[in-house]
Amino acid sequence: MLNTLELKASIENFAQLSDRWHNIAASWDLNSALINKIDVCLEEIYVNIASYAYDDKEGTAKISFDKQDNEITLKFEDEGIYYNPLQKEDPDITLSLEERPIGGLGIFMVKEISKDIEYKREDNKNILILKFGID
Amino acid sequence: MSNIEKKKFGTEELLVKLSGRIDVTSTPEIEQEVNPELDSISYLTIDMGDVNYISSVGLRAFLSFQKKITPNGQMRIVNIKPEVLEIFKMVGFDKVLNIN
Repeated sequence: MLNTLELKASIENFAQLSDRWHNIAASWDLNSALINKIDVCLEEIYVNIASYAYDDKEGTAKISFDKQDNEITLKFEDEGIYYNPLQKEDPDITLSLEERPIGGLGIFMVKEISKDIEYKREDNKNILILKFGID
Repeated sequence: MSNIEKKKFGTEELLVKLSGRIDVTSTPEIEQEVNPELDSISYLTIDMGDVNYISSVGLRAFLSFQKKITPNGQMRIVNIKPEVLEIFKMVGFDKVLNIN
């Protein structure tokens, strides 16, 4: 059940990655709400890699999708600068319209959607593993 | 892919009908279409009836529209699908945006 895709880490390539996810998800017979929530996580993490991991240089992002029983695992690997998204502070989502900053929601959404997140730095790689339960 | 349809009622009211995905690819186009209108209108309605996906970049754009229009006007979001509404609720946007 393991599917892996390695691509140049650019924003333009997100559409290709998302299409691949939807094809995999269809073969796994998942419901559309879960497919879209995992797509949100895919977008947040991938866009972060594409935007920040390599500064102005080119680099790749490797994404693996796996399903075992009632659990889906997404693994992201890049060889960019050290970045542990779990160290990012959560936004205060109770603030008023005037007080709320415009950004800072992406990683928070990933934390809310996934049931387990692990970050590792190995061999100069950022490795982020997200797990999702299937209802 | 996302599609954007705009309809103006008089000089003060704008209806924006979005469809498809509101993601990192489509959000810049939506911002390009909506932002220039925000100074001159008082009512912005965003019809989300055919939207099935939104990510943080899309949510950020919606919050920015709301902040820009708030001093002089109102924004409302209509026809939102339950699974898209769930994403708005996840980040507390159901409390700061006018969704019906």
